Amino acid sequence: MATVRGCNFPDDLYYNVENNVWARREADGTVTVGLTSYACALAGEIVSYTPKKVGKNVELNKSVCTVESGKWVGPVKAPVSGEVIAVNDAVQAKPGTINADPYGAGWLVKMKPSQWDAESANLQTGAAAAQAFEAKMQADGFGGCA
Amino acid sequence: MAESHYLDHGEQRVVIVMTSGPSTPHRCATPFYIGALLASMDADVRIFLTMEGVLLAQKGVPENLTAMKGGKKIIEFMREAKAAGVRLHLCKPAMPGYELEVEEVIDEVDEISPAGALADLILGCDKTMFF
Repeated sequence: MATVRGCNFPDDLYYNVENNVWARREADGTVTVGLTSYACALAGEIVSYTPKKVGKNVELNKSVCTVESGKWVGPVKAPVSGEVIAVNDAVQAKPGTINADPYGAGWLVKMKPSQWDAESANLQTGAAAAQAFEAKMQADGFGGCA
Repeated sequence: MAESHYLDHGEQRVVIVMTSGPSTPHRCATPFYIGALLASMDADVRIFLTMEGVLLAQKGVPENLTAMKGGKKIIEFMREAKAAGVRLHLCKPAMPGYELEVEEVIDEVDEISPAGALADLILGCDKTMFF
């Protein structure tokens, strides 16, 4: 687990640093997608979650869902292309779960990736991801996760 | 029991015509928020600043304007809309009436557009909204 300015970044995840999203390759080949703890800190308490429907094909960097907080609204961009195979009903019922557990119960969608090998090569992992997040935080003037 | 909502409308083009300006600050944040929301849903969103809305593109105005007491500055709403993919147009023929010069225009404006561009956008889009 890397920690950058108080924000956690688990080592087993693939990150799109620019879009502040993570992807976890599951044993069955599917991919779970979520927001980073850094994104949650920037957004504040998330109050709304609107996902794409199960069965939708989503291209790389297109929205898999939108999230809203009292002060911000934005897309969560697909870290890889693929089909949405599950959305998180628990998060729909209680969007604050995203803030409370961004890498666990607060996952956003599960996808069946169409080009994992090619597209995951452009995601960052481990120390490289931590360095990239530090640079992004520096550029954003981000104080740190609470 | 809250109804569940999903992103299920395909990619549409939406034009938001923003006529409100600094004289009605409480009307100046929501259009950018809605624009950001629509763009987040993969809509192609254009916000066209015209009439008093052009003043929101004048350096020094959106940086010092809030829709509510203690709220976020309008420039932040504009930047978040742009970060979500919104393109900002500024109505060129409206600028003289508000004594707005090109060199005073904020960097966030993507395009200074003739009225014909607005007409073209409206005739070619799926949805229009006026504020």
